[in-house]
Amino acid sequence: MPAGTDERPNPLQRHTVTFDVFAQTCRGPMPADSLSIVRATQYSRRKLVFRTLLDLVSTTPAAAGPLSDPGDAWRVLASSEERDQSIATEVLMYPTVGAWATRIVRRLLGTISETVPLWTELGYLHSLAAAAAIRSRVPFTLRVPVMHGAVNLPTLGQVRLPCRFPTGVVTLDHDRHGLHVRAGSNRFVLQPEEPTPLFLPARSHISVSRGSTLRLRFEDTDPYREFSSPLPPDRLDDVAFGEWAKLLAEAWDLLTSSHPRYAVELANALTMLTPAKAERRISAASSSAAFGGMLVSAKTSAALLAEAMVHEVQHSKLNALLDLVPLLTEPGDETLYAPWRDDPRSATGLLHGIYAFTSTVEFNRVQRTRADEEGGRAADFLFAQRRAQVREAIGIARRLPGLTPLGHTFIEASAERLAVCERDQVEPDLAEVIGWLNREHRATWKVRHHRVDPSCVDRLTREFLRGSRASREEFSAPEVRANHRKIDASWRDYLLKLRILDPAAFARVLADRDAAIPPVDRAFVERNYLTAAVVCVDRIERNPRDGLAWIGLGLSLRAQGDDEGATGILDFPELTMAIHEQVHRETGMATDPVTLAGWVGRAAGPTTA
Amino acid sequence: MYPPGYTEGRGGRTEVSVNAMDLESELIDLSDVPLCDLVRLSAPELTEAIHCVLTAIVRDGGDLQEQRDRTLRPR
Repeated sequence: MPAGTDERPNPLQRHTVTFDVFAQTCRGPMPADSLSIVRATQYSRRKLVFRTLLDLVSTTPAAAGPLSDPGDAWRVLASSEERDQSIATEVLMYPTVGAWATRIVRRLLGTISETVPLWTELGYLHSLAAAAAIRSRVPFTLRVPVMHGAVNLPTLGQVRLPCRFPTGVVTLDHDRHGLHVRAGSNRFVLQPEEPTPLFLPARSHISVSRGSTLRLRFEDTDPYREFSSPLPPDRLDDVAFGEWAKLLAEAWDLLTSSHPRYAVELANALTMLTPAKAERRISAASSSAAFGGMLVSAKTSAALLAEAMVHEVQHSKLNALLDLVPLLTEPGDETLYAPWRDDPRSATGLLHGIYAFTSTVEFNRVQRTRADEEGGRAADFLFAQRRAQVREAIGIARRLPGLTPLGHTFIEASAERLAVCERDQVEPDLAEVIGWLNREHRATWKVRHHRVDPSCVDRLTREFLRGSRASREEFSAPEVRANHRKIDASWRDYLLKLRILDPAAFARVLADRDAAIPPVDRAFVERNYLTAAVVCVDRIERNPRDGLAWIGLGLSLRAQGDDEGATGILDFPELTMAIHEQVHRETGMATDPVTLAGWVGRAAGPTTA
Repeated sequence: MYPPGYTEGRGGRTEVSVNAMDLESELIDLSDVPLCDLVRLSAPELTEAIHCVLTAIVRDGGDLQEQRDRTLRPR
């Protein structure tokens, strides 16, 4: 397609970021003028991705299948820009468009495969060009794809065809009389933006509070609304949409009253919210390819929704920053522990979590002083839990070998923000529960993802059987191999949270004879630590690979003041379990888990357990 | 690898310093290029930028940041 090229004599300029904007990004909420700079850089990035995909398409003309020439679609979009630049920009910057553009480049490169034909997905280019042209009143004719029985017009809505087309093509003619749709023998005319059974306008939401406006699209139909492979529309009914609108309005009121700087940020960065289905089992998500978009599950309170929005917009900002300046020399393999995630993360992922959860801590630091009793307890919990997690993650990030000087500056800015939050006290029982939860999570992660060095296990087993004392230097670093061992979540985690967040429900669950609470977890949450330890040892004798029992034993030893035993299990669970197995293989006898854990813990010396 | 103007201070991690000057990004500025010109544009730095974008997309592919569900439920 780019047959004739324009040899421009002047070199292209590069974006310059003032140090102030960089520093503002590090410090958290950004003012509107800085965010407009960030948006401009993201627009450059988006155009660059489009130029890349147009180049790829020009070398694979068959990719368009029965659609109009992609060059024609691009010319329609360019004509729209000439008529109304703001509309074309808005369409190009729509988060689903970014997610699609990245995805279609990968499809054109052949790095992902999909059952949906390539041309059907490529045709989203035609669809977005059509949407921009309709909105800016530019006439055009384009053959566009049908996906899941509808023609998607990003930011505008969906044309629902009066027949079922799993995939197919329709011709759109737009003129001063309206949008003419030709699908086989079916022909009809629409006036876009007017809802009819054949046209569903895109949903928008506007909240105004204290003179600040939140304006976003509520996306429940676009196939790329979850930033992944194309999905069928899932239009919420009016009642469900009304509930979202009510909660969004309440969240906006909360943000403008209690978190005004984050409200400014959201007003200037958030453009699209997708309601996540409950079965996704996520709280919220965002994509590096979709600046300003977020996927959020239904919340039970305005505070939870506001917190999720604040959190996700941090990811958008950091993604934009990473497009501009290097914080890492390389993103790194997914081998790092992030205290809020069950899976191993890359260095980039760790920075994302630190940055976004620092805002979560700051948000809940305010909330815990302003919310009612129930909301205050939830905010207390999130404040204390996320604060402890970010503290640990910052310690991990500071040791990253690939951190650039800017990356160090970025991490230290989060550390400074956290230091302010560290001044606040939390109740001792809450601090106790947070400690147990974090220890359990870290140990579970190690059991699940750490693979021990067999030669290290052989060496240490021999020393253990000889009765000699080992040293920390003899421990080999484990290999991180994602999910190499299966381990379930424990009841302990659930019950400990319930003990803090909802004491009445906690009492009811414990009293419920039908609840299948494992005896060890019941004993632990009732602070019967000796009983818990005995039950764990019994379980380990019956099944030495019972990771939950090992971790339960480590926690119980810790609660009883056996720090060496706790360290042996909670800091090195995979190693202690492997030595236990090896002893059994070599001697035919099971060794006492507590004795072994203490031996490993003594060798390890003081650690974090 | 680092942008110009960056220096590492003496004495280890906590004393790493960054000169407080403006930072030139690797990202080329296309914000004012009309869409009709975008496909015709040709410059060595654009070719390099396209190569970088391809590398990044293959590597990250629109990396998703997810917060897990916090709903209290037994396992």
